[in-house]
This record gives sequence, structure tokens and C-alpha cells, in this order.
Amino acid sequence: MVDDSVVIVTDQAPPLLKIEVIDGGLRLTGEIDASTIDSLSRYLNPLPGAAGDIAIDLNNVGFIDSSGLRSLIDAHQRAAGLGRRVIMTEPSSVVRRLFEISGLSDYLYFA
Amino acid sequence: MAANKRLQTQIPVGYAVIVRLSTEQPAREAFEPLGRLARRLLAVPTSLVTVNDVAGVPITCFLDDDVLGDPDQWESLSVSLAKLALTSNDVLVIPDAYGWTCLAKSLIDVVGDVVGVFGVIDRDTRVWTDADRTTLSDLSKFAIAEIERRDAVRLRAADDHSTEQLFQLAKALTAAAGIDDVMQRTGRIAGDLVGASYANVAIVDLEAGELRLHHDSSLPNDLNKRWPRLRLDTSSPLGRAVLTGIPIHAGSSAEIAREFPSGAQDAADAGLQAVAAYPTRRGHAALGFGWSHPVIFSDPLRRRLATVAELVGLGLERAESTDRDHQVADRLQRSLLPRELAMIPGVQTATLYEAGAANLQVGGDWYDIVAAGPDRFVVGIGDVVGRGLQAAVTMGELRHAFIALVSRIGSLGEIVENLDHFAQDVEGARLSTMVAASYEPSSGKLELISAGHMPPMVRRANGSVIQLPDGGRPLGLGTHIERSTMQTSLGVGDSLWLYTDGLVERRGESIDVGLERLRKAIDRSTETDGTAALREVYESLGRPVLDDVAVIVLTR
Repeated sequence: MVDDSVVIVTDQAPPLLKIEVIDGGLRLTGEIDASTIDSLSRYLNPLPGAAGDIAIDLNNVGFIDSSGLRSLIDAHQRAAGLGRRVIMTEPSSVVRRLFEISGLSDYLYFA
Repeated sequence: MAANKRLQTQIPVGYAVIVRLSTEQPAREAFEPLGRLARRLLAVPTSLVTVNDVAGVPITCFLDDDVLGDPDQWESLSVSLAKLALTSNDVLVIPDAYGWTCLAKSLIDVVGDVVGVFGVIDRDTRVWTDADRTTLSDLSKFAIAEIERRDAVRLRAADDHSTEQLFQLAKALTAAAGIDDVMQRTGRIAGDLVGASYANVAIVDLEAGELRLHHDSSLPNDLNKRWPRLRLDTSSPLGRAVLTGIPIHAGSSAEIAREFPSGAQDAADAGLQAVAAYPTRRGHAALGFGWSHPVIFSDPLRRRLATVAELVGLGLERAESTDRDHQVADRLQRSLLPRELAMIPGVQTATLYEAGAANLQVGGDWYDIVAAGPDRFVVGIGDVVGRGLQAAVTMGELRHAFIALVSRIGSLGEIVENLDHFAQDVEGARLSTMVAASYEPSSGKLELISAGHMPPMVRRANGSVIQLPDGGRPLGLGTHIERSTMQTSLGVGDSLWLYTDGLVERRGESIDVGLERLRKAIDRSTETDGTAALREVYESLGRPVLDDVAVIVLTR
């Protein structure tokens, strides 16, 4: 159930990261890097929703750089402090491999 | 009064001719009845009303004339009247060189700005009485009322446009990355805001006693080259503005020639007939403007010039700190990388460090080799998250922590565990990745631990290339992390390749594609010399677009 939809348009077209607020989390499309991280941070701080798990749909994310990983880890740690979990759902194989190589696949939650 | 005195010094000897067609024709019909009334009441052959446009250029709104036939003459007359009227609130008697005498009253609006002039002209035999002055003064009140009524409509539209331009200027300044970028982005907008055909910025270089000039793109190339720098003295408007700290104006070619004789030819070559220079608030730079026509520097124009100079000055301060930040970070990063690496017996060491694309701040890649004993060396390579000064500083701290730990602590696992603690405590170091490798020269034995870093590669003497396992959490994500130690060895002719992600990562492709590209490049390399092999491999991969690259290759 989509209750809101926001498109972040930067100077370059097409939009580098589309952020959709979905029930219980966010759906991301595009690339998470230094140029889009500020936009994403606004949606993760404060964490979406009041309680429970937060799903971040990464199925359509093609690239995450180190600042993007850091932002996801920040969200993960803040959620842990509140007894909540941030769950990366349906990461593409490219992104899954990025988490793996970065040593984060046993640290973050995946579904 | 001080303002008037300043203005008087700028009135050129003789009449300056200003011919400028306003894009907007003044409402002539509004002033016609007033002009006719003036002629009748004062019994004069000629009356005129001029109104200054936004740039302070007087426009003859109405000239009712029986005797002055020559358009050049009335242009010159109206301009001269306007200039003189700027200097006084009184009704002035102005003798004219052509055998005429003028009675003129400046038109001053509610905020005290001179917006025009109301004048009557007669043969020079005419003697103006007090009654004449009162009549002209009374009539001018009607003219002002008319101007204000018109301005209320016209200027609202103009102000909307100016506000939009000021907004554009502020936006462009915020986005500018360096001083040159400030000029490229803002020169044109700044010029348009004050009706100038050209704008530049002069930055004070105290050591050289010079001004470094940054021109906007409208200046022809040959002139651009002719004026890279100016002496820091009062011979130029910019130099004078910086040294005196007050705005400098020269409204005509004659005035430029008188005030700045050495620069007059340059101004003429650039087609400039009026110039102004405004010092920035901090006084370390000045903003220059040039007009291709003479200009009267009215109070509204001065206010606008000051506003634009203030805005661009703020933009410059920001740009300078960006430039400085970049330079400092770059210097710092290079100074934080080891100048000389520890020599490992029997091993040739090759390194490479390439900063990312221009205009981007440097990143936090680092490497080092530290002797841990007579037969043990520890090699580290890592990448700190983020870019800029903070990343460079963090990278330096992390590298120094690494050096200190290697010299004090025995096992590789303990070294990395302590770096984990360190990275938790130091803001900015969290999530740093690294590979630590311990090497025994006598046996060639090699141990490696990866903390979320790119997988090391080993090229065997027989040409095969092995990609070592990757993974392991980045630094600073909790303590008591089980880290696995990879063990292998370097035979004679083998080489160990450690690198940061900039070498392999390309936007829009899987990291495995980049790793395979590197593996193949190392595989293809025929060089046995480590430095030559590194150069060959690096060039075959193509220059990365954005990220920094650090590589260290140990060849036994």
C-alpha cells in the first residue's frame, strides 16, 4: 500500500534515487551514494513509523557506495537502540554482493 | 552634504553625452501638460523633464522645444542638467556653453533619491527671479507625483525581476565550488542586476602586492589574457577600492581618463565608458563592473551595486574556504601517507596513489608498511568513509593508530581488534575498511585479515592470479568480532596486490565484474618488475571517474 510518493530530482536526469514511503518502510529505486544520501537520510532520521520492523526495499537499487552503507548502518543501529529492526528486503544480486564484500551480510538484517 | 561633495567631484568637465535608449519608452504624455505649463508660466522657449532609469541613466521624458533643434544638443543638455541636479536639492541656475541658461530643479522621491530633473531653458540674457524659482519648484512637485505614480507600477515589476535575479545570484553563489566558478556562475547575473556589460573580481595577493583578476566570460579573450593581474595600488578602480575600502565610480570616459590615466586605454579597448569597483566587506577583494555607456551613479544604483558586491563577497568567502579546504586536505592527505615505506628484505614494494576527479575533495585512502620485528612486517591498506578534510584527518589518525599498534602488539588479530575499538571511538572512522597483512621475509609466510575491504589478489610466479576471500566486518561495528585470518605464502616471483575500491568499482556494474577485470589485468601483465606491472595494470583498467585509488604491490 503506497500512501505517499516522493521523487528526488537532482540536476542530472533521470532521478538518481527515488524514495517511496510504503507501508512499514521505504522502497528505493536508483543509486545510494554521496549525491543522494542526504535525501535518504531525511527519510531515515527519524526512523519511519512508530514501532516495529522497518523494511527497506532494495530490489531496484543498482549501486550503494560507502556513504550509502554508512547511512543504512546508522539506521540499523538507531533502530536497535529502540528495540526495532531495519530489514533490507529483496536486495538485487549486485547489492547483496556489495553487502557481502563489505562484511555486512551477517550484521544487517535481510529478508 | 558629504554625499553631495563626493558626487560633485565626479562631474566631468564639459558635457558628457549619454545616448541610451530605454527599452521602455517613458510616458511622454504624462509630462507634456507640465512642460507646456512651465513654458507658459515662465515664458521660456524650452522645457524638459528627465527621469533616471534603474541604472541611473537619465532619459529625456519630455522636451518641449521651439529653439533647440539639434538632438545631440538637447541630449547633452538634459544629461548635464541631470548630473548637476544630483548635487543639490535647490533650484539651480546653470549657464550653458551654447549661449543658453537653464533653471533646473532635481526631482527627489519620498525616500530621498534623485529620480530626475525638471528644467527650463532660455537665452543667456534671461535673469531668473525668485518667483521663477518658486514656480519651477511648485511644478516639480507635480512631476514627482507623476513619477512616483508611474514608478509604483513600473518598479514593482522591475523589483520582481530584480528579486528573481538576486535569488538566482544567491543560488549560483551557493553552488559555486571555487573562485573561478563563482565568476563563471555569477559574473553575468551580477552584471545584469546593475545593467553592466561586464563584471570581474579582484582578489588581493598581499605577498605579491597584486590583485588576481577573475573575469566574467563577456571579456574578449585577448583582454582576458592581458589582465591576469594588477598591481595593488590606486592606479586602477579595483586597487583603489581595496586600498581605500570605499566604492569607486567613474561614470564617463573622460572621468576614467582623468582618474585612472594608466588604465584608460584598457577600458577603451574593452569598450567600457563607465566603471565602478566595490570592495567586499572583508576588504580582501573587490568587485568590478564595466558599462559600455556612460553612467550616472544614482543612489538606487549605488545601493544595488553594494548589495551585489555584498552577495558576491559572501560567495567568495565561501568559495575560498572550499578551495582552501581542498588544498589543505590534499596536502594533508599526501603528508599523512608515508614518504618512505619500511624496506622489507627480499621484497620489492610498488605503490600508487591517485586522487579522485578534479574539484572533488580528496578521500580517505591510506596504506603503510611497518616493521614489527626483524622477521615480521605488517602491511596495511584502508579506506575511510567520506571525503574532504575530515576524512583526511581521520585517515591520518587511523594510520597512526595502526603504526602504534603494530609496534606494540603481537598478533594480527589483536591489531585489528584494537583498530576496531579505535574506530568506535573516533567519529568518522567507523565503517572504515582495511586489510592488514603480516609477512615473514625469511619464509614468505603471509597472514591477512580483511575488515570489509576489497579482496587481496596474489599473482603466482607461474602467471595464475588468485583472489583471496573478502568479507569481515568493517571497523568500528561492535567489539569481540570473530575475524578469520587468511593464510598463504609468497614464493619467489609471487606478488601480493592490495588496493582500495576505486581501482575496481564502476558505477552501474556489479563489483564482481570490476574484480574480474582487475584479476584479468594482473593475469595479462607480463612485467616482472612490480612498479612496471602496477603501472601496466592501472593503465589497462582505465582512469576511474570519481574515487581515489590506492594500491600497494609486494613482489618477492
